[in-house]
Amino acid sequence: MQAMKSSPLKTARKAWNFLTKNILPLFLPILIVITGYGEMDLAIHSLQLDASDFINKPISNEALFVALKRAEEKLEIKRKLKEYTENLERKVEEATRELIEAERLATIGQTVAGLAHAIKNILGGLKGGVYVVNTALKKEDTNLLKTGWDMVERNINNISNLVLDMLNYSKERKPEYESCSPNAIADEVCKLMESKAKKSGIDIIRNFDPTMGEVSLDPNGIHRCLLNLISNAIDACVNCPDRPGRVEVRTASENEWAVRLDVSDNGCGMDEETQKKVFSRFFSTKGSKGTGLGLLVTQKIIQEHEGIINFVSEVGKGSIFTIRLPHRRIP
Amino acid sequence: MQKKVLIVDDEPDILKSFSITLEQNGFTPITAEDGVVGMKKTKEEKPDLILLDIMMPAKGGIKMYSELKKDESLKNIPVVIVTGIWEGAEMKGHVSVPEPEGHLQKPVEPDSLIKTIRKLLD
Repeated sequence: MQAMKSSPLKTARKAWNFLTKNILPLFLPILIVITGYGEMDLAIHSLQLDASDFINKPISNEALFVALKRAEEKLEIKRKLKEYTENLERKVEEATRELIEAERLATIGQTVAGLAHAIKNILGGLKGGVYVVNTALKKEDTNLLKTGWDMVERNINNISNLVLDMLNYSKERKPEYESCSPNAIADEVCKLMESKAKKSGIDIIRNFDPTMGEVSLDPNGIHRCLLNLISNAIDACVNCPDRPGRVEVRTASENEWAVRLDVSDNGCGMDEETQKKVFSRFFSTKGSKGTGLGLLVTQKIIQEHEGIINFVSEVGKGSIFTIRLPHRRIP
Repeated sequence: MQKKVLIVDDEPDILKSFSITLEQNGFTPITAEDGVVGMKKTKEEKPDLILLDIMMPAKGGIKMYSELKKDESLKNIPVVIVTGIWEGAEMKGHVSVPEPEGHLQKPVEPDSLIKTIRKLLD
């Protein structure tokens, strides 16, 4: 604790400034200003600069004693406050660290549980297929053999798709841009999905912009996105069997965007609750058939292209998903 | 007379492989792809046992199960829950209905499927 005697006002101010700037932070002292110039201006200035008290000369012992006692109390409060603040900061830091770790573990847990569920379902199909094949071999039943073998093939296909989705989802990847025709990619996916659609009596309608030229994009990525969207559209129609299913795939160029891709269906549509969750991890309305990764991966690929994806849906009427991809210089 | 087993599952491959497994072992399989059809067939066919999946679109397994167990004429049909989700997670919070008679985790081995059914029906 230091006390400072004031000589003329100027010197006192100079000394005060020097003290508060250089000495005070080193020792965390309490300063009592003792001055013969009981000037309000200096008093305010002193208090602003953290002096704990201000005594006018001549000093009585009693006043100095009270001032010192008050200063001591203030010093104690200050010390405690500093301790509490530091403690609190440390605690907040610790809690934040723990929370982030818990969240990370929960995310890993959910991911693993979701994947385990998807894999178990496929494994169930494979085991069933193998059982049917074995039974058919024992009974020498060719028809049954075909049924069993179809099951095995379908589930191998399912697991390949799941692995592709997992890889796409887990990797932070840059699109492998090349110059290609969006119409050709869309046509290829339509061809792939046609047999699945026909089995359920669903028509796939191509509405491609004939003026659409080549665009710079990652053909595999966009292929995957369209496959997911068209496959979802077909499932939505299957769930709404009271009218002939119709899936339309449309390509177009739009002013600010290089390409716009629409996949629409007249299927069951989505309620508000479902709409909120469509891009959530492992969210699926398809029971054991869905992995809950398809739309998430689609969104990720589009974001990597710096494009946008959105949708409009109405229960009982159908849904339309729209992808927009930006212009890029063709390499 | 052959005993009737109703399989309720949204996965066609499960319906097919369970059906064939059941046929091979002297049961008559009936299939339903969701809880709505499942309830309808239960009332029509009065099966001796029900194999019930939990996660299905339309009406899920939990809803169908509680409907079954609240119906006086159906509540004595034994139900085996067949599901891929963690054990014990399914029926908690549904204390008003009794526990299912059996539980099988996917993927189900044909042998354990038949063993579970025989134990409940013989």
